[in-house]
Amino acid sequence: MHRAMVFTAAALAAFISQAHAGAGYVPVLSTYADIAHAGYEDALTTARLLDNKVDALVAKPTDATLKAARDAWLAARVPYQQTEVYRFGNAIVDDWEGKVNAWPLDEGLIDYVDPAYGVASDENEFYAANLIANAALKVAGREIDASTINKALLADTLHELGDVEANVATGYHAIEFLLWGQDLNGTGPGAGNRPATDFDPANCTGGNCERRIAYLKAATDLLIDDLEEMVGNWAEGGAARDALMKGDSRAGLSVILTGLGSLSYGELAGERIRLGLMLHDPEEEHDCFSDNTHNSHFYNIVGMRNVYTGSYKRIDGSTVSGPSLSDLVGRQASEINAEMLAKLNASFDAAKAMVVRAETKEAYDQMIGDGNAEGNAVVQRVVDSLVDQTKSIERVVAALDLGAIEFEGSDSLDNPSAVFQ
Amino acid sequence: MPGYLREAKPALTTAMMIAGVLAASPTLAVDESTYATANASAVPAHILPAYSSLAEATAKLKDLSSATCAAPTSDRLPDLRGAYNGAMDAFMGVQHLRFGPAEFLLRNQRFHYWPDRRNTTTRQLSALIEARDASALAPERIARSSVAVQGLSAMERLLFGGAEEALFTNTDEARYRCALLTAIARNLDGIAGELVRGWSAEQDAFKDGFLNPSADNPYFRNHGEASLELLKSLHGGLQLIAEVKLQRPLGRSAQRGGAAVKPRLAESWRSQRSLRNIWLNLQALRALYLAAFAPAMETAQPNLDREIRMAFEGVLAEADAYGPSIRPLLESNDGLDKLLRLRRDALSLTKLVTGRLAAALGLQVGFNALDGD
Repeated sequence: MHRAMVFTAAALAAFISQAHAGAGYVPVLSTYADIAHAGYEDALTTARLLDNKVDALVAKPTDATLKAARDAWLAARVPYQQTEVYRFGNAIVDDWEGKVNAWPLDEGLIDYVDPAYGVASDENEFYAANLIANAALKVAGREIDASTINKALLADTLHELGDVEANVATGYHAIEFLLWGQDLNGTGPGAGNRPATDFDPANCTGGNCERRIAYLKAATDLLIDDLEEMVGNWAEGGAARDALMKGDSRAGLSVILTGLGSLSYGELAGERIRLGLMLHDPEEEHDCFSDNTHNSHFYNIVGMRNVYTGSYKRIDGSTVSGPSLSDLVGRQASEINAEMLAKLNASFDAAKAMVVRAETKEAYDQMIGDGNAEGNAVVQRVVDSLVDQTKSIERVVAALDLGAIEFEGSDSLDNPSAVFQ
Repeated sequence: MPGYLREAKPALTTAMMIAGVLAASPTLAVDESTYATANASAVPAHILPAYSSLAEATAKLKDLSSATCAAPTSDRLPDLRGAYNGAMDAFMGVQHLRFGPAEFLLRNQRFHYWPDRRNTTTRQLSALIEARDASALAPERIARSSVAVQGLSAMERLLFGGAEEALFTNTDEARYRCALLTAIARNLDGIAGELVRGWSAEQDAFKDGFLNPSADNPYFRNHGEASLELLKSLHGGLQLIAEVKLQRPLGRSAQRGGAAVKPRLAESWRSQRSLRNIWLNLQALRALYLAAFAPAMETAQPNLDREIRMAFEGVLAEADAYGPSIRPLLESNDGLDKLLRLRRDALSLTKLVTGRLAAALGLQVGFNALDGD
């Protein structure tokens, strides 16, 4: 659910009393747009590399080519996750985002699943429809011709089929499922373990290898198309950049802060992290097939720091930087800028500790497991620091006299300080 | 929230509008004492009685489940279902109170986990019953287990899920199901007791902060911040009704005049009480308004007060007339019209709260504006 953050009268009164010229705002918006463009460009570059590795896998399905494709997927997540801070606030990004990073998904829509997955869901009639095994889908009186698997079938028919958001047919997580398969280890060690022969028509495991290949190719091609579109939106003259630069510059700053607050609070701390903790459920991890969730969360947090400090390190090692929101806040309220930077760094450190634990001790899905007090606490610390950071974002809003902004709220999040004691 | 539920509303325009409201009532006397009075009234007049009713209902449920499962016979099913309904009725009176004791230790979520977007309750409940681990039902274990298996949503599946006869047969699985039912009932009773104590104990840090805030209080720096929790509860409860409880079963297509309704996305569809839940929620939300905000509004903004009361009466009458089950309404055009009307009226009331009431109180419920998913 959507929960509105509530601002006090003081912020509103300040907003009413002051008519701002917005001096110094435009260069900040410009840096923000430049970082978006560079980030989506890097996401596109790494998605093209993934596409190459998928071609190699299909040409010669072996453990080595499958691993190369998986590694390319993991690398592609690094720049993309840093762009998620652009999602909330920029309507063009938010409307598009569901095509590339929709989550969670009912993977039984796409391919074979373990019997423990079940065959029915309250929420989704297509829960176990298995498109790869079925050239015609007949569910609840509806018939879908799936004899040819192509981009149009995935994007126009299958994605969000039946108006169910869990019917995710495209994007990173559909590709992730095809490359890894289900993670059947619960909150124990191990990720998905799909064999390379699932893509080998000559020695086919899992059935319907040709259709699985067609699916993987179509999904990867679609990802490239979608990322190309978003790079264009942030280029000079692109729709997203224009929406930001040609409007009220104070509204532009609100866009930046909405993105920061909504990702911090409702989306990342709430929907993506705390819900999994309170359900102790490995299905509630963002990159659940690949066990890459720690990195996905971490790079979201890196992305927030990029935006606030106006500096992004690209995949080629170069840096895009310019006048930042931090500079602006520092001029108007230096103590709040210092507080905000400290909170962003605290979130970074908490997320880094989670990454280190994932790399050295146990995977994210194990950390959120029932009875794992130490692992739970590491993840809880990320939630707490993100919630804490959100309070400082509100103070930044107040300091800049931008009026009220609604942050993305969450069912699972409110005052978490005393939750997992 | 899915995009189709989003309100496209430019933030600055809305801000200007609200600024106008404030500018038009410059003499409005809302200050810390107004907030202090609202908060001090809400606890004895609304919060504590609602939690006490909850504790009474869970005590009955607990006693009945232990007695029944000690000597299971299927003729007790109607009584068990009645006790479940009693507890759900009472919970609908506190569902909107999600702060303080209800938030600590996830008590609100543990009592009733819904909506369940991933069907987690069914999955985890099946796994639990399959494993038949008796130690998983110990009070301290179940209280720390997943929120999906320890509350009313799990109990509803045991009592109305189609396998309720399996509570009473002479098998290991039946005994486990009945033991689980009893463990959930005991857990609910424990949570309800903690909620009552949180709001009634002589010394409770949160309650003390709520009633006596100070600059260095960890919860509330002033009375206005505490009143804000009440306003957020009112707003959140109304929003849950309009945008989740009604919108989910109506589906996207209902808005376009189609018929792609989703009856199983309604709350408590198994026990056929989805609209009764909404009616009870609305009663509780009105009680909150009357206890906390009406006294100030009656004198400061009598027209607004009258409008809010009338709006509550309207939606209450609708929900009462249509209930208790939502399913029959989802199956006819006439029923869909009624549900869409109820949703529209609940949304109007929500806007009254986030707009004019918030402005009159000098508090600001955020704008549903630049974004949100």
